[in-house]
Amino acid sequence: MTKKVLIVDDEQDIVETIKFMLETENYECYCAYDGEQGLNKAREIIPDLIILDVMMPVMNGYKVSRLLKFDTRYKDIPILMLTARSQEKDKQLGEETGANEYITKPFDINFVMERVKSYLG
Amino acid sequence: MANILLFSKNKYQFSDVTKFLKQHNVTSFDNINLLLDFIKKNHIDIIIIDTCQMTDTLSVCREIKYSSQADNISLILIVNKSQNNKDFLKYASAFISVPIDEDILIATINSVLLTKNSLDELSENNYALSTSLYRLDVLNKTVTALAGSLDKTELIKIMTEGIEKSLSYQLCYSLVFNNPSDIVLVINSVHSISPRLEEAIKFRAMLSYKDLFNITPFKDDIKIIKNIKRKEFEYDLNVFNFDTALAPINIKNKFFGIIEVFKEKEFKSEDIRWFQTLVKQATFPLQSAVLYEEIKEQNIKLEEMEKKKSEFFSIVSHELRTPLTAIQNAVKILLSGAISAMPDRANIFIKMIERNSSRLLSIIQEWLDSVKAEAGKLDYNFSSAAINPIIESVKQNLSNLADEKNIDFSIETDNNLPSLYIDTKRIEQVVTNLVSNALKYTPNGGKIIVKTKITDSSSIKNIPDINDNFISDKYVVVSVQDTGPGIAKEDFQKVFEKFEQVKGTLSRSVGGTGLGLFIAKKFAKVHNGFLWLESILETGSTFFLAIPVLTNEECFQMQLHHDISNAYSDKKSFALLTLCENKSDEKPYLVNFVNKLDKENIFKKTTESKYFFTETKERLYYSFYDINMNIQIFNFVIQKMIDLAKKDKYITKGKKLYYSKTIFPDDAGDSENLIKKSRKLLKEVIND
Repeated sequence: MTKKVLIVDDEQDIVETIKFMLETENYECYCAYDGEQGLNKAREIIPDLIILDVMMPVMNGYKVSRLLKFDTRYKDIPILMLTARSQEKDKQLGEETGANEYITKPFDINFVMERVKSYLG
Repeated sequence: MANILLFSKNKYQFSDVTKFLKQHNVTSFDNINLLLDFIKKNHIDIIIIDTCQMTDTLSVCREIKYSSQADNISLILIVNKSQNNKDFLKYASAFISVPIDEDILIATINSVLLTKNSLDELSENNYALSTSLYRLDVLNKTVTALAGSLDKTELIKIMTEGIEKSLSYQLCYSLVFNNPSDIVLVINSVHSISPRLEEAIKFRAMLSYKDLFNITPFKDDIKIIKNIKRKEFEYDLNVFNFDTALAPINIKNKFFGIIEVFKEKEFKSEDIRWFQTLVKQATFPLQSAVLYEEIKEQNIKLEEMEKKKSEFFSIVSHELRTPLTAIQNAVKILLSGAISAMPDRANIFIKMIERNSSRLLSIIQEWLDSVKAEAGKLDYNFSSAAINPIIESVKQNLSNLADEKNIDFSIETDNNLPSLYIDTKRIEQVVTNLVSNALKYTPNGGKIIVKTKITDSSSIKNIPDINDNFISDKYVVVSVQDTGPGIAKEDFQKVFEKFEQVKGTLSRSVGGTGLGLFIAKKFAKVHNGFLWLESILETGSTFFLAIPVLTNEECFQMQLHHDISNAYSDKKSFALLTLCENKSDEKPYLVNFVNKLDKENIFKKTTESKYFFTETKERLYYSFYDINMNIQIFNFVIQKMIDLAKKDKYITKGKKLYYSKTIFPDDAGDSENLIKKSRKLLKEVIND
């Protein structure tokens, strides 16, 4: 069965590139362009993995992550957090909110793919 | 026991009075000249004059009273009751009638002596009081003088002067330590000092210094300043036998000094008090001076840092632009299909590269602009232009973005607007910033309207935060209205600040550098215009840009103003050329103009400014040079120039009759060189 990945980022171009790479590896991709949209989509489709940006309109990634991770229905979904904020305290904040990985921008798309594969096989 | 003189022609009186006053020291005279002579040489308390057998009592009294030594002497007169004329009594402190009663005489003498002693005491106190008053005055003046200076050496000098005035010392030295390489010993002396003494003072100062602050200054580092008042004779080591007073100065462990005063006579306790007070009074301004120097140093460092930051930014920005240009060009080649037609999927990504590299480029440009705008280093290119085409062009550039978000983007322009005096590129940038902001914040399916209209200055006067001077009665207003989330009133000012996006950094709502509105506001200001906003939460915001409508003269003034401010931000001195078309009958105009400037002494107020005017066959030009000139005077000159030009109808509507250009000299400060350069540049301008 194909694995479902949700990509949440307000930068359309970033979503497009990740989506393209994931689709070449036969993952089923869903996209959202702000935090709230992302949260709703995650609850709706229950993906196997979420790639989540931090700085986004309406609701930031930390909040999305926290809301999902504190909900028993979704807490097992691995979250890869993407962010342009590279300071140690930001990373800590990401881990505290339950993100499984914290990847800083600019990132290597191949590295992201590796990480996705390590969770989904 | 008092010294009493008895003046009498009656020998019996002599013996009687002498007998009665045996506990006092009584000397008798019957010759007035001998008596006056005696007064000169001796201290006398009382003179008793027997007037009974004298015919010239009045003149004797007068003579005694007016002899210079008799100020402090009391007169007691022995009078006969039968004497008719008693005018002389006005000179007397007391009188006794004959026959003389012993008790009355003694009582009178005692009473006079008592009064005299009280008076003496009073005058002594009076003297002490006036000394104190004088010192207070000195202290007051010294404190005032101290408050007026922030120079440490000057402060020490003022303090030493104050000490000198109130203590009248023979010698005073102060040793002050600014930093290890700047130690100054100032010696103030009434008379010359021997080389031996100078050396000794140096050692004494160093030793006291070491004792007080645990710092050993090196003998060779000490700079000596000597102030000798009179040079009647030379002090030697005997000075060290004088009475001395020493006070230390210690400010924040950063500035140390000692001051020691030598006085031949002993210091009284209040002298020491005055000395200490004066030194203490100097400590406060010295503290300020030390702080001031620190701040000054910090400021210089900050300025350097700011400059380095600007330089860094501009270098980085330029360096970034080069590879970006290469990327953009490469992408354009790929997209053109010149190599081979790309598959559609590839095109998507190449377009992505194109889009994002342009975005990066505009971010870098914004960065650079904001750094430059902050440093006042942006170049502006003003000209007369219409606003509506600028709005059209912005719409064309951004309608794609609007379409992507399905936003209804429309413009409503007033087609009867006057032309404005603007830098079209900058104004386009401002409008672009406003519209792209609106696009960012307006949700899909929203609406954006850009309007232009003309308005009276009175209608924008009441808008908060616009309290600048209105330079015109009419303004053209560009408004950009969106249906975004709106901005809370308390954030109105914040949106124009650097790196500010109202909702806070974490929930970044839209992309951008946070510099767009900051730059826009700067540009509006450069145009003597205003930028403000109105907003209702949940409904939308409207940004307004107002640009003044100027007459030709005002345009001219503004252009000059920009030239000047550009010149000022770059170099401290500059030259300005104004070039006019020449007609032979207009020659007197410039002559008059320059004469008038001369008459009003404008140039005399400046230290080093020069001007000249010359003519060619076609044009007249006037040029003006300044070396570090006061901007206000310069504005005044320009105003005069414009007034005169107006009066002579020299600047007429629609006809450009002037030309101004600012010259930046490479070596500011050398006026001759500046003039040479200007002449050269002028030639080029004329040949254009």
